[in-house]
Amino acid sequence: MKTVGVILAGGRSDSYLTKERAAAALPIAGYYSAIDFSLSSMVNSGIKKVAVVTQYSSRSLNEHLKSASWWGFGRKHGGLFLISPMVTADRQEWYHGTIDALSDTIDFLRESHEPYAAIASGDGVYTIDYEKILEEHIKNDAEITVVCKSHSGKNTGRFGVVKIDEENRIEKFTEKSRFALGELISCGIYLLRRRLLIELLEKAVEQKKTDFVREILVPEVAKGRVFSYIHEGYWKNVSADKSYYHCNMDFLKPEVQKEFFTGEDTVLTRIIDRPPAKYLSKADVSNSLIGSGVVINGSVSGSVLFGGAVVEEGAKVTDSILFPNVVVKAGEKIKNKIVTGDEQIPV
Amino acid sequence: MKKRMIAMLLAGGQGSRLGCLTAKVAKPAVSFGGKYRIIDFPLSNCVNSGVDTVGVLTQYRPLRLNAHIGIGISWDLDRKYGGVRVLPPYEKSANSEWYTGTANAIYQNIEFMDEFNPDYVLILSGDHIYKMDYEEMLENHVRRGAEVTIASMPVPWEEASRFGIVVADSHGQINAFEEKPKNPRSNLASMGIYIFNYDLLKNALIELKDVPECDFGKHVIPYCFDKGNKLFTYQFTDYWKDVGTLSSYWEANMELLEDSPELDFYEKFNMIYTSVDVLRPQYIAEGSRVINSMIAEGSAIYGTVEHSVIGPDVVIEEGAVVKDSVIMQGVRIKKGAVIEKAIISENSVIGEKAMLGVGKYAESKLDKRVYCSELVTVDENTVIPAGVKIGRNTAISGITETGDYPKGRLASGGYVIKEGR
Repeated sequence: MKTVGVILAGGRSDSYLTKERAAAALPIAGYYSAIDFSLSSMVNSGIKKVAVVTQYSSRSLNEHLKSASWWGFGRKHGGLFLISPMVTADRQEWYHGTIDALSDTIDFLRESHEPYAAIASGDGVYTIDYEKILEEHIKNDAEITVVCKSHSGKNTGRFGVVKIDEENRIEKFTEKSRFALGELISCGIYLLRRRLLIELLEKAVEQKKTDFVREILVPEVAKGRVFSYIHEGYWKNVSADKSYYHCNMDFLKPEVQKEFFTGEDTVLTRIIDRPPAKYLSKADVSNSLIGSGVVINGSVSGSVLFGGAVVEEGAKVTDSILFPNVVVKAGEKIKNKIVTGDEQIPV
Repeated sequence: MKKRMIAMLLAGGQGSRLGCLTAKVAKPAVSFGGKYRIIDFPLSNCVNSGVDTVGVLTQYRPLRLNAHIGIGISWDLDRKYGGVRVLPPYEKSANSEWYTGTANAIYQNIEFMDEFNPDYVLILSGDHIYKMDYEEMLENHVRRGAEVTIASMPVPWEEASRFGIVVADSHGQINAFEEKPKNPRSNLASMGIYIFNYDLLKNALIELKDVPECDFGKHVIPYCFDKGNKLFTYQFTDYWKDVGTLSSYWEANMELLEDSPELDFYEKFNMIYTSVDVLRPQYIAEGSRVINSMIAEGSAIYGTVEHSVIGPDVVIEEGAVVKDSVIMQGVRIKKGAVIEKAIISENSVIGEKAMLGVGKYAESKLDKRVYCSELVTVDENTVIPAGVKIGRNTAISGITETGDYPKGRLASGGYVIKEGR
């Protein structure tokens, strides 16, 4: 495909869950990490070259991405490029914002020859076909295409709210304001010409700007050449505890399973060597996703258990998420919680 | 590049006593324990013992085996020097031949072994389920100044006459080697795992090169013994299982289902590695029931699974019941089917309300030597139509239709084998 990818996976939020790990490294649906979705969407669309920009708690991500071959990278051409902040003559500090982080990809972008660049955040759960976005981008003769999703929820304070005209042209983009009203939100996925991106980033760096959306995208919207691409499928950002929880629970629904598990494209992930899941004589499991190497001798329902978790005899896990290797001791009851190991986060 | 010890893994055998499980794949490639294949055990043992150079000798139906091993990534055996190397028989300017026996196969690969100039060569076979530290065996070999070490394990006396038996003194030095003796003098059975000093092995193989079907147990070991080489035994007492017959294969799978089985997949060290596909998480639906079972990733269970080993990517639909069975990768068991004591190979489909394993045992009409248990054996890519009733000790292979089952039945001991797919 004529596109290179950039995934911003450096973010943290004020959620408990990201205390020890990047949002993009959060485990999803008993099998994946959050970044697998943005990465697989790019790979499955034929994007052969992807830069992942990490910062916050980058070790958790580096571990996940250490063998790029799980996503079909690691070839002689193209590949996965991990970019982390480093101290240089020009920079003595961490990234100040998304522009700062993206500016670290300028060399990567310059050395590419693909005409387009796609930017996505690493904490969204979805599958999307970039070929289709590009098709519309070209048809609209857009400068920038923003992937949007209709949103029925009340509080849109976490998202950019988008207003479009009948041609899908974005008329107004309001970033993360609690007062913004609207039915369309930005998924944080953008497509534009690679050269334009380099140009915009260089100018922004020169002018000491920091925020990609507020200081690059919104001003471009005013020029009238930013279009939206409406994503019909599932999409959820998992950087907040509640949405993380609900996203995992969504995977228990048949329609969500159908979209992600039986679609044409497999969501790719790094597989950790673990034995099959084991159900002992007192196991009682229903409506749950179970990771590899899980051992269950208690009761589990409406829950998501990640690899190596253990539910001992008489323990009861209901509507909860158990992170990898969490042990629920005999007789213990867990309900409506995310158990990360040391912590039990109520939801 | 010198290696202290390299391994040669004999993986060319068919394993004909596994019936239709090995009709299309070599025995070492047969799946085991849900997500593994038999060859994963010796390969993982090698890595866990620090043996990083393994020649895998293939001959019978190597396609699946080759695909599984690849370049050895799953076992960390993708190495710049050494690693895993698949060694099929090859044409020579004179005397081109298949591997005619275990020792003959190694003889034909002296060139490969020479490449690494090893001090010791470990001979393994690809048809046993066990975890073993070959490094410890090597330490024993070196410490005792042995020239050949044979791993052995105690077997019940009444079964001893089925094995190659070693008679050893209290230091483990072997004074006699008896191949399937009528009146065994010891109950230590050879496990077919040997460590040789390489120079000695090479000489013996060259000396014996003209022996037809040259075999380790029958020719090489007796030859070394007669020549007065120092042969020791290394006694192994942990779990070891030959899965050469349908019933022993099934039993070994069932033994994994105990709450604390002898062979532990769940310990942090000495893990068994295997090559896996990226699939999806496993889903256990509302209204299902799963106990005493092992289930691999990507499977979805809507019915009942009791005391069974379920491979990856299997679907067991609503109302279906699977009991005391081994279900391999990609199998689909449709609504209301009832499966008891069956081995169902990869990608087969069992139709709605079909019943497998009904009635009483009867002698096999196909092959009494192979099919001699209560098991229903289903070949890979087989289709069993809806509603049929299939007896015990049966074999089914191919896309079968209702017409293949007179009155919708296959009596115990019967078979339906459809060729030409």
